[in-house]
Amino acid sequence: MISSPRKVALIGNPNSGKTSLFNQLTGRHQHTSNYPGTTVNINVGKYELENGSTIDLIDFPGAYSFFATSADEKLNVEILIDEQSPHHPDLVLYIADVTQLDRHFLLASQVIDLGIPTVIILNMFDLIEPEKYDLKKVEKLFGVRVIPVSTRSGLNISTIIDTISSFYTNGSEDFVNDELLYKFDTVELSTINNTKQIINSDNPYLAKLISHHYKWLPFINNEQKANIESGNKETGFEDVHYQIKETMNRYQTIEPVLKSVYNYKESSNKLTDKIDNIITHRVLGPIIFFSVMLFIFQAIFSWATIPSDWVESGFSAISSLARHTMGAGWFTNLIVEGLIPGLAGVFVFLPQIIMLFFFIAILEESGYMSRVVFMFDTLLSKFGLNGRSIVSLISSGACAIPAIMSTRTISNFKERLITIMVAPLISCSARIPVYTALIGFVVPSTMSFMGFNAQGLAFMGLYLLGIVAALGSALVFKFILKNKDASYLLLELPEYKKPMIKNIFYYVSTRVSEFIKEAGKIILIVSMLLWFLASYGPGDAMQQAESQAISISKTKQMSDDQQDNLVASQKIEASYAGILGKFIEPIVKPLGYDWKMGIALITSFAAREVFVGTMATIYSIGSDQEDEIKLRDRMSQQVNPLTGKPIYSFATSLSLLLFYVFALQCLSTLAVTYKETKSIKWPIIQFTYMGTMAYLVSFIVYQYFS
Amino acid sequence: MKLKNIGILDKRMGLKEQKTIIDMINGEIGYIESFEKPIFTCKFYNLGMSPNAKVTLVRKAPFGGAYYVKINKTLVALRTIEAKSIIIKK
Repeated sequence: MISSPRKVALIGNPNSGKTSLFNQLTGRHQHTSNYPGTTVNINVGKYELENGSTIDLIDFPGAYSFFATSADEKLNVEILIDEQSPHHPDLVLYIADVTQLDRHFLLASQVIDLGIPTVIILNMFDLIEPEKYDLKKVEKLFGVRVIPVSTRSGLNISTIIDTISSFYTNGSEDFVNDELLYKFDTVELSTINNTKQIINSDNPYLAKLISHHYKWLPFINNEQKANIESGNKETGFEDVHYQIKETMNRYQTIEPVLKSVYNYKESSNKLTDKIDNIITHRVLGPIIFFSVMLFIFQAIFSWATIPSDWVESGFSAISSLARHTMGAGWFTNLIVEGLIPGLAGVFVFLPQIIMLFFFIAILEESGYMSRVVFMFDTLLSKFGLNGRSIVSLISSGACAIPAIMSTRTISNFKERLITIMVAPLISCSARIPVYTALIGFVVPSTMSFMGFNAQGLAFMGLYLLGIVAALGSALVFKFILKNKDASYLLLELPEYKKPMIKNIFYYVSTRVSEFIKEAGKIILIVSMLLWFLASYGPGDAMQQAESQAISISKTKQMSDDQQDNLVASQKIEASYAGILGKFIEPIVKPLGYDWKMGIALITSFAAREVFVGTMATIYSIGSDQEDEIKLRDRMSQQVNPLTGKPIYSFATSLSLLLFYVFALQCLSTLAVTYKETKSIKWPIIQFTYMGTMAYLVSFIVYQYFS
Repeated sequence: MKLKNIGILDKRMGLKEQKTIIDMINGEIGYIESFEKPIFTCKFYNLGMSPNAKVTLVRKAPFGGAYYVKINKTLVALRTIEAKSIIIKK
C-alpha cells in the first residue's frame, strides 16, 4: 500500500554511514519530528524526485537487530511492525557497511522477512576492490536488489534515487523476497498461529516478533497482551531462548555466504590501531582526554565572548529601535522590556552552545568519543552512570537540554535516569554571566596563585564543584533507586575517520534547534511574565513609587538619566516582584541575602541569566545595558544602612555564588526532564534535591564566613 | 616482565576450568568457544561475536576497567561482566 506522503526509511547499524547518506540526500530540507508517545526524535527530510513528487526520507536511529533494548532501537521495531504508525515506510533503504561482513546483515534479513519492500545498500564500497565482490550472491541470498555505494566518494548515489523512483512507478516486486530467510520450528509455528489470530494478521514473522515484544508494544491492548502471554506459555515459547535461536540461525545462514562473496584481508585499519595505542593507553589516555577538554573550554571562553557581545548589542539596538518606532504604552513596554530581552536571553548563548557542540561533533564523528566512553565506563558505573553518560555530561557544559535529550542511547533506565537527574549540576553557559558578576566579590582580580590568575582558577573551581556534585548525587541515586533491567556497555568502536563537515553541521544544528525550541519557548513566556510582575503592582503603589522617586530626584537635582534609574528601582520595589522578594526575605536572610537579591533569585528560577538583567534594574543602572562591570561597581557600593558594612561581603557573595552553582534555576530543564521521563515525579525530585543542596551549602558557607 | 606473564598464564590455565576473555593478556589471540549468559548472547552476535570467531584482547582500560577487544575486524569495548561470559577455547 503506497501511502501519501510517500515514505522511505533509512535503516541500519550505527556507524554504517546511514546518517551521512540521509544528509546527502536531503540537504537543508530536513526537520526533526517527535515520534508520538515517545521521547525519541526522528529526522525526516524531503526529497524531490524527477517527476516532481516528493518523498519523506526518514532516518531511523541505528540498531543492530529487532531484539533491542534501548529506546532508540525499540523504535525501529515499533514503527516497522505497526502499519498504522505515521512513520511506517513504503520502502526501506537498508544501509550496511560492506567492510564489516555478516554482522550488518542480521537486521537486514529481519526487515526483509517482515515483508517490507527493501533495497540493500552496501556502503563504503570505495574501500574494497569492486570487481572481486560477488554482488549476485548477496542478491540471491536476500532476494532483493543490492546497490554498491559510497557516501564519501558519491558512487551510485544517483542509482539509489533511480531505484526509489522505479519502486513507486513499477511496484514492489523486485523489492520483496518470496521466501523467508529464517525457518520456524514447531514451537514457533504454533505460537505464531496463536498470535496471528489475536492480532488479526497474516504475516508469520510479524506474529513472531509480536510474541516476543507484546509487553511493551503500545498498540497491543491489555486483552491481547493477556492472550498472547497465555498462548506463549501453552506452546512453551520462551522469549530469550527464541531470540538467541533466531539470531544464531540467521548468522549460520548468512555467514558462510558472505564469507564466500569477497576475500576480506585479515588486517584491520593499521592507523586506527596505532592511534588507539596512544589514545587508550592506561596513563596517556586520561591525560589526553583532560587536555582536550581543557582546550575546548578554554577556546570557548576566549572565542565565544566576541560574538556573544555582538548578539547583545544587536538586541540592544533592536530594543531602542522598537522604543522609538512604537509609541509609548503597555504593549511597547511588553515588547521592549519583556519580549526582546527574553529573545536576547536565548540568543546570547548561541555562540557558546554552537561552539561546544561543534567540538563534540568532531569528537563523535572522528570516532574519538567512543574511546572516551570505553575509558570512563568502569569509573562512571561506580556512580550509577554508564560510560555513554559522559557525552551528556560534557554537553551539559553548554546546555543541559540537548544533553538530557541525548541520554536515549543509554539502554538501562536507571543509568539513563541518573544521568538526567545530575546533568544540570554541570555548570552550563547560563551560569557564566552570574559567575562573572559575582566572582569579583569573592576573589580580587589582582590576586594570583602560583602564577595563575586567581579568578580564572576560581572559575575552574566552580566548574569542578559542579562535576563533584554531579558525581556525588549520582552515587546517592545509585543506592536509592532500584535497578530492574540489565545494564550494558557492549560498545562498538568505529575506525577513526576524518569528520565530514556536512555531518558536523547537522549534528550542531539539530542540538541548537532543540535548545531554541525547548528553552526558547519557555524563556520567552517567562520573560513576559516577569516583565508583568516587575512592571505592575497592587492598586496605585506603582504610581506612588514613581511620584516619590521624582520628588526625591528633584530635591537632589538629579539628571534625567539618574532620575529614570531611580524611578525604575523604586517601581520594582513596589511591584509584585518586589512584594514577592520581601515576602521571601526571611527565608533567604540566613543565607546572607536581602530582599533585592530575593527578587533576582525569584526571577532567575525561570532562567539563570535573567539574574544579571534583574540586578541591573534593581540597582538602577538601567536594564537596557547589561554591563556586568557597571553592575559590579554599583553592587560594591551597596551598604547596609544599619551596620555600615558592604552588603556584598565575601560571605554573602560566596553564598550567592554557590547557590547558583547548585540550584536548578531553569524551567526549560524541568520541562525536558518531564518529557524524557514521562512523569512529573522526576522533575519535582530534581528541583527539590538541587534546591535543598543549594540552600544548605549557601547557609553553611554564609554562617561560617560571617 | 616476560617471566612474570608466563607464570600468570600458566596459573590461570591450570587452575580454572574455563578460560574467558578476562583471563587473556594484552595482545593475546584466542577463538570463541561459547557464551555463558543467555542475556548477552544476542548482543554478542550483533557485534560479530560467534563461536569460532577470532578474538584478540587488545588492552584493558585505565582505572582497571573495560576490555578493548578485536573480533575479526570489529573493535568492541566490553565490561568485565560481559567479557567474563565469553568462553575462549583452550
